[in-house]
Amino acid sequence: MTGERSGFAPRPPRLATWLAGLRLPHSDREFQLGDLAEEFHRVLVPDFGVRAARRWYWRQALRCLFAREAPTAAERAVIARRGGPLMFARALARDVSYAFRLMRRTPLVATAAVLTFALGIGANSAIFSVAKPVLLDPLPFPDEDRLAIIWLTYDTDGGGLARNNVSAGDYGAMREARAFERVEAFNRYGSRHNLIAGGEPRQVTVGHVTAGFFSALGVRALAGRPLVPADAESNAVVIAESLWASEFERDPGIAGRRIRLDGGAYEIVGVVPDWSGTGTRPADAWVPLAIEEQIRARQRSYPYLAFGRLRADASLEMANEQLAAIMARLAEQYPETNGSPVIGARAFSFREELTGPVRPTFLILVGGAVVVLVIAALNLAGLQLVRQAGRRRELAVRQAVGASRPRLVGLLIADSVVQAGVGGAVGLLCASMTLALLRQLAPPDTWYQIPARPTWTVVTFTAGLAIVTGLVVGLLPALRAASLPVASAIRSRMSLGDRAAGRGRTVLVIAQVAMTLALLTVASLVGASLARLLRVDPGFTTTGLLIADFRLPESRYGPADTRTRFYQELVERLEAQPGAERACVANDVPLDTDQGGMTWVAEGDRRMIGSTPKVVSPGCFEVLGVPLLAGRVFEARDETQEVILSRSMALALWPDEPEPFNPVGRRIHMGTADGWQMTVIGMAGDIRNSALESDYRRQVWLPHSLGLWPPGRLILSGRDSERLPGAAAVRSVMRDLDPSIAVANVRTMDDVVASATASRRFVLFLLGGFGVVALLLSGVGIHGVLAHAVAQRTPEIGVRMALGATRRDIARLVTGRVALSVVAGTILGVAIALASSAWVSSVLYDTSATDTRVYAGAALFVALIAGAAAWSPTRRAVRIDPLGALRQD
Amino acid sequence: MPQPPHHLGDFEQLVLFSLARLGNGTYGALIRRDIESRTGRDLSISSVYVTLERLERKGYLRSYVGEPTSERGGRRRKHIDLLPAGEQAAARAYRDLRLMTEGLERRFGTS
Repeated sequence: MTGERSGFAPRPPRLATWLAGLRLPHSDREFQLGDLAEEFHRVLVPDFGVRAARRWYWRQALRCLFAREAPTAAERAVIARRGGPLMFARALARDVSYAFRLMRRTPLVATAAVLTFALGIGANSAIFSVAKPVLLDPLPFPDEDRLAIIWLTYDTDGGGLARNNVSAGDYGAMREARAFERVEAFNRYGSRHNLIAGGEPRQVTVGHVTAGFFSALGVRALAGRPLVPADAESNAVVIAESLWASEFERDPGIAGRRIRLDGGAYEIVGVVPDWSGTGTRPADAWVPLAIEEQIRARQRSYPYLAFGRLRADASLEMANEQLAAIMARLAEQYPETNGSPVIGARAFSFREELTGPVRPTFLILVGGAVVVLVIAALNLAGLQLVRQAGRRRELAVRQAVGASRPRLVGLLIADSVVQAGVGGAVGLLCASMTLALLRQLAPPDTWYQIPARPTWTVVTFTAGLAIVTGLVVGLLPALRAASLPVASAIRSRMSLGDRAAGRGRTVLVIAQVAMTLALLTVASLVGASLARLLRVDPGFTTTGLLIADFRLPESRYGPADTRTRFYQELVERLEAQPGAERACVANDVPLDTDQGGMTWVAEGDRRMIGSTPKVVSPGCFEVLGVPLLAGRVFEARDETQEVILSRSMALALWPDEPEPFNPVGRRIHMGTADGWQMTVIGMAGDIRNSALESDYRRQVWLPHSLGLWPPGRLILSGRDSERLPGAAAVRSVMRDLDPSIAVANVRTMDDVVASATASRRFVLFLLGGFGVVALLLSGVGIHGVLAHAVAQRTPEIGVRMALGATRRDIARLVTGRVALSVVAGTILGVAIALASSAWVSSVLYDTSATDTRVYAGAALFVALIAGAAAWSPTRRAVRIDPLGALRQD
Repeated sequence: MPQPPHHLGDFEQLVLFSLARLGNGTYGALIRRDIESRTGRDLSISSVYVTLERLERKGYLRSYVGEPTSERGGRRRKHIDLLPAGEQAAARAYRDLRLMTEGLERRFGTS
């Protein structure tokens, strides 16, 4: 029976054949693979078709790969004497001890392997620490999946759905939705107050919440009790644990203590954990909202958000249906507030509201860390192939004296897992040191916390990852090394496996280059995006400004003229400080604002245009460097109802006016068409108020003398930004004016801008770090592959040189394959980066995720590193002495 | 010196029966397909070869290598011949099964 049919078009899958061959005993491999191929061609393809035949072949191949081997006679005897599991444990212990001995014998290689493991595993350990609170951990509230945040919604011109804060009246109606066990509300903005508890005054943030707030969240008090409905109209206050510790030394008798907040007397009824405000209103203390009166009056302000706890048998969909019905009824009942535009309401999962916006960023970071690990693993697999090639003789001798293949595989895998274990421990140590740095770099005021130290979960994760990585890295090289024929291994140095190993290393190089390029491209896109963002002109001065927070207690500064006098005095004294130039007060600071919006209506119009109100003293335009485009700024004496509009706001209010448009002299109404009338006295340049990325540039500037949104920030500019007055000087000025007013949160405008971009810089730092590590690892990998190839081919190179090959020919011979691999890897890397572009673009600002310049730059960089890695081995190759090389064999 | 009879495992019996049916010169793929098609067992080729190797060690069969074919990707075949000892072992197994199942046809028999 010889070659009957030739030229068969369908063939058995080569990868499956290779995998099957890994485990088959060498003596029978040819026959078994031949039988499989014969059955494939003769029976499966004709009877069942190519696809079914291939599936059958894969099944057979995998069964060969994972088949349990019958023990040899020697092993059967030992098992009979000693028992299976015990023998396994002893063998494992021996293998581990041998692996450590081997590491001591080859310290350089072992160090390289351990460091590579450490980089890959450490990066993932650090990212797991950072991402776990966001992506995996539940929120600290019991049954948090039953919590929902409720926003008002309305249709925008563009056909989308916009969200808005909730008014008291709307909240009152939402309580009727029976899908919720309870519906509570909180003021989104909170307030700052001066706390006097004996000693220096201290500014605290106070959250205003409905009395059932803590019960709805499921928060339990650490001392005393949380707020209850009976507290609704009282002066009860609940404080956060950190305030309890810092101001009251964790006094166990805290309940019942009295404190003064801006002169008003309050009684502490309990202490709650600091995280009680997560997702709602983080604060140092919470007081009950007197909301019932506002509900009755249907007050037209929208500072609240509602949240509800769903009943056990209710769903979010059910709740939204009920809310829709309630809002429809309100639109009919109150058309002037709820009918035009039609206001709806929607409940959103609490967890999703918190994690949704940050999830893409964290997933990108996790992806980056995984890529680093895969590149490290590829490097290590290549290293293992080389190491095991060097141990061929040792393995052959072991096999000859009776070690079975599973034993050899176990020995080789133990080697890899031990290195991974040591590398993992080093990586965990590095990760825990990095956590401190990451905490500093992380965006401030986030709802999640980066832990200060790795938790036990992180340690377990790292250990598991080390074992899995060690197994994966070691498995295939071990299977290959253990299945080589004994006789030829003992006899000769060159192995039959070398050609296949060379193919394996080509695949490694391609994969490494591809992933490094993809990672570098994403990191570069993030960097380009940040650079674009930093080049945005915010419309105001960003350097040389000092900012601090303060709060005038209403009890002593109720009348407008008292407040105005205080602000004037404060500004004058600040400007008199050495190093100071101008000073002013404002309700908020650009890029550091939690100010809510306000609507305005042009005289004669009905459209309500939203804007951010900016309440300032007259000097603020000069201090902030905001240009005046028309008209004049407020003067100190102005008590009339005058406003200054930003250019975008003016254009929004009067869209049909021809350019250049000057709104000075026009009139607008606050809130609705019949609200307070104000006269426009000037037009200022647009500023980026809420975020650098934000295109929303509608501001309405108001003088503080109107008494709306009292200023709580002082801003100071200096002649020389190096010599601005410091915090001590500012505090001393305030103490002289009124010792009961605390100065808090002293910072510079540079700090504010840095915070505003902190999140992007954080991501860039991590991704950039991963990119550098990936580049290094790939460079090391390419260098290793080439160095090994040169060493293996030294005799061949000697022969070629002796036959007249030039240095260029040798260089081309040595680098040819790797160069092709780098090109193939580059193409693959570009494809991977393009495939992930939709996902990456969600974290970019004004940067296309397919920007060709970025891709080209990253590819060039990778090529340069590959070239640098290839230089030394190539130089060695072209300098080979032909005679010495020929003598070597 | 006569060897004491080895007791055959269940799968060893199936392989010997298949060998007896297929005749000398058969090989692993045919044996695998024969047993699979008759018993419905989903067999891997390696399990057949392991059993053949065991039976060869017990002296029940012998193997020899044949010619490569292009259908087999240029690989050779390993052919199997049933030896007299193997024939006897198969016959013994068959007899034992027949004796043990006497009277149980109704209970276990299928048409």
